[in-house]
Amino acid sequence: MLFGLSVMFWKSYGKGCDAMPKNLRIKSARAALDLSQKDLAEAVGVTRQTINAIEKGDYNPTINLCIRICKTLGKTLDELFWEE
Amino acid sequence: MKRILNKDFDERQLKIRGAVYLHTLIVMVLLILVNAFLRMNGVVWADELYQALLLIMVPVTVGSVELICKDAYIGVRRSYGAMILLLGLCGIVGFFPPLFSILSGKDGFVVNGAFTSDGQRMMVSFCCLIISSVFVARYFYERHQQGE
Repeated sequence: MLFGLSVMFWKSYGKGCDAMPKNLRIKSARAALDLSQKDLAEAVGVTRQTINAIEKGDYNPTINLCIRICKTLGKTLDELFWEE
Repeated sequence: MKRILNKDFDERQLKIRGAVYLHTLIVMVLLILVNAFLRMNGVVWADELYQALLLIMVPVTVGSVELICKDAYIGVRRSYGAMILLLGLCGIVGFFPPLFSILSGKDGFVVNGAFTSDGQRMMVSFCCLIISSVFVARYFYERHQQGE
């Protein structure tokens, strides 16, 4: 039982094989407007930790959140989220 | 209900909460099975009320700690901090007096293979204390991270 729980928690906490690369474009676009993670989070209606997770590549936002972030930062979806 | 929940937690938090609720349910089911096995073999480890309370509180504590660590316990509005501090206060009030009573020798924690009334109260209060303590630790950790 303990082994099963440990595996369950590790899978929840671990990044896994499909970890996304860091999104530095959001970070630089945010910095260009002199916005903190908290400011951006409040503007788009999420928590600061969610913005942090998106920038670190730990979380894949939905298209609606991507659009809200783009509108707030004044960028297009391609500029912030398209994989090069 | 869905609209209210969606306003309180962002999408990442909702995803995390779904997974954590599943973990909590699994832990609760396992504990219920263990309790049933013990009762079948005539082991009475606590009063029925405290058995039920602990079967609820232990999985809730496990789930709450996981939610707090993953920042999905309190939503976007962050308006429930006072409630958690109250939980901590209840934990302190329920944990330390029985602890002093046990340490002074007036009562024991376990007698004849079953938890005493002080022991049972301590365990339930300990669960409340854990949730509150982890929340406070996480709060100061977040403040430190924001400061950096």
